[in-house]
Amino acid sequence: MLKFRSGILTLASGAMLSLSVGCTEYGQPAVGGGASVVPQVVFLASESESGDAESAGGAEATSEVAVGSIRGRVQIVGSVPEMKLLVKAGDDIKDKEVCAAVDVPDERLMVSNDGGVANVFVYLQKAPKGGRPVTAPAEPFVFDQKNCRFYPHTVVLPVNQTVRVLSNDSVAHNTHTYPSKNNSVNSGVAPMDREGKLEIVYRKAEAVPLAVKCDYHTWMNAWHLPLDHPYGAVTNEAGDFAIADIPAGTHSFVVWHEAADGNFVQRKLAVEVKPGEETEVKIEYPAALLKL
Amino acid sequence: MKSHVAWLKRAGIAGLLSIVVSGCSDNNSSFSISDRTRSLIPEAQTGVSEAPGVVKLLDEKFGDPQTLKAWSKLPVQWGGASAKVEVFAADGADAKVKFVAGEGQTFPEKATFVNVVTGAGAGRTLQLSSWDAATGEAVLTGLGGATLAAGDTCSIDGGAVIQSGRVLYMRHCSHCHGTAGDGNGPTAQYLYPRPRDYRHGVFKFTSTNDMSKVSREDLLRVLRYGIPGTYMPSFLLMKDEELTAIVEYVRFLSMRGEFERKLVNELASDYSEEAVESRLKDEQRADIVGELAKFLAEDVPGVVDGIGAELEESWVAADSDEAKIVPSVPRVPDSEESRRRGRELYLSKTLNCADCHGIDGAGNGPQTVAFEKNPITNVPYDEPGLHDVWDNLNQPRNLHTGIFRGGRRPIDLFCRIHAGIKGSRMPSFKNTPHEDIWHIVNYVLSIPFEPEPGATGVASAPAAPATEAAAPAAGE
Repeated sequence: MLKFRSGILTLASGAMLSLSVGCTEYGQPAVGGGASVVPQVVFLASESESGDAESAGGAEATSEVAVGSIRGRVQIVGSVPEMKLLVKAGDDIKDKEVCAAVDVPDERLMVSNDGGVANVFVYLQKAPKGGRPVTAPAEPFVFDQKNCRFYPHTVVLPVNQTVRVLSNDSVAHNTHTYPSKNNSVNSGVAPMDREGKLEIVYRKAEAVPLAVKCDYHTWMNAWHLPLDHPYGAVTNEAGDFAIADIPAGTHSFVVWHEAADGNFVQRKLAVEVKPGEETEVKIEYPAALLKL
Repeated sequence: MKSHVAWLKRAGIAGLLSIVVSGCSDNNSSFSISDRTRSLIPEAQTGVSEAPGVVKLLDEKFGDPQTLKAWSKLPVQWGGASAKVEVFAADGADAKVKFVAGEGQTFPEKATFVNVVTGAGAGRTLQLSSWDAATGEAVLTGLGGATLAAGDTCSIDGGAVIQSGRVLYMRHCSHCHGTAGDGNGPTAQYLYPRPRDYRHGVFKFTSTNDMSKVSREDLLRVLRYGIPGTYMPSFLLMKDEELTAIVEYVRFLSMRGEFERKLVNELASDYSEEAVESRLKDEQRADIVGELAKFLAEDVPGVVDGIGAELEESWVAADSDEAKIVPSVPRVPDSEESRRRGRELYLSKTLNCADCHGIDGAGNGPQTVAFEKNPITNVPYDEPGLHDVWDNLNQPRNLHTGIFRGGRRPIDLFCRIHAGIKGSRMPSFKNTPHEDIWHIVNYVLSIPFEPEPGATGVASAPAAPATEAAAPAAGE
């Protein structure tokens, strides 16, 4: 028993010793590191060494650049799934007198009779050399909502363009944006606000379209794509799009759609733009790519 | 018994040995790397050949807990003052220097050293043998060949605030908020609500408008008074200079997290593991890495400066007068009438507070039982209810408890309604007339004192004779 005690003593003295040699967590600074050690501070200059690193997306207006345009269509290939209505008139849902007053389609996939896909974004991720700078129109862009549906569902916006949020519904909405480079907006919109008290401005271009939601009606969804150059478009109901005055040369376009698995129909669609000509671009959208 | 003792002895000695051998050199802590950074391909994390990746850039600009980097671009009070050299005259191993304080900076009364930030001597620390705070004239000693030139930026006696902030943060905050402010310290997993993860640069309770960041004053207030209803305690017993140092360090960690986040945003759509996997269908990995190398070398330096500028702008703006919420009308005096009006607005179609907070304010509105999808990934959440940007279940406040996390002063509630609760689903109602917001504030403040449904207050209970009251009961 005595031996057992001495064993404990050894342990205890070991613990004591470890305290005295040791890693004082709090109080006195420990040697070699740890939470309580006063850190060194290394001062860095405000700008990086290279200093005059060219500003990102610096599309400068050069007067004499040969330009061409593209016109095209996004066509679904393969069997198109039957899309159910998102909301059927008269459905027993929240705020049904407004939200289920009319049929609301599921806008994730809108295919025309001959297979054209609407709401597909076709754009250049970066401003091309010799491209035009983008200028935001003085008139605000009107972003409306009716029957718990955003209008439009998809839009390409120049940076710094004011977006005025309206409501044509007699229920409360909020507009909640999920950008990755801009500041997020989450603001209430009063019923029947035809004046548009809420204004949203995207200061920075985004790499991919950002989701716009309403938290009162979580099925409401729209997509905004702010760009710092004018070379982006969204396909219309027929699946058609057109982009004008692109500097001649080969460009790599992004083709993005919300229902595509991973969202990219094409990450890099190489298109040769010929000076003074309109290039026809046919984009195939394999139905197998759909993730609904 | 004997073997037991021997084992104990051995264990004791082994324990002692291991402590002596390992010493304290392994105690260096590090800033964690976010899961989003980890979702990038390794080349994007570490860099390709000479071009640094996210992890290297983070270290370059922010350092680690033992060696903090004070990136002058960031609006952090590092301590001391930044200054520019106006005159430099070498005199043997010493030099006479005149400094001009940087914009908005005041020289410390006492100073003993100078950190050279730009110019030929950048990175050097030089000792001051004399210092005059009034004129900015100083004598530098032990130059060891270092020369300064007019226009060089220096930091005079810098770093004390951020150093003290780091030490205090590690002592008082890191066990919940984590070394990097990732809200994932050792105790975090046991807490609900979870400790704030600073790395979004988003703080819920602010007196600034909906588009602005948190102000220093807001952070200080949270430190002083804690967050009622959560594990965040009050640190009111700490000294003011300790609290302000922690605020600066928390801002530093937030900016570090945001820097990481924004940098990953630039890379994620093309160079995440997931993106690269899908790209491999029609591209070669070597080509993708080559393209990444070019991007890191050519574009990222500009991106880094751009992110620095954004951080500077947004964090400076948060402390400006324009960012502050100022009600356009004074508080509407509390009255039955105002509370009634507030309740009307609360239930109205215009604001529909009841949608989340419930008709009676118990935090149980229909939205709390709706299944939501993550708005970014579109993946449905496992449990019903509202989620915040940290992906935590974030139920609307039960207004009956009288516990208001962002403070219970009328102006606190005004700010919550005006700016919304940042990072959560609670939207801003900035376009609602301020008078109406005050009515709602009066109503919300009265909710905890409402009688329970069906309950009759003691005072108002009818003084009916006991016999009469008992009669119907007996009859039943």
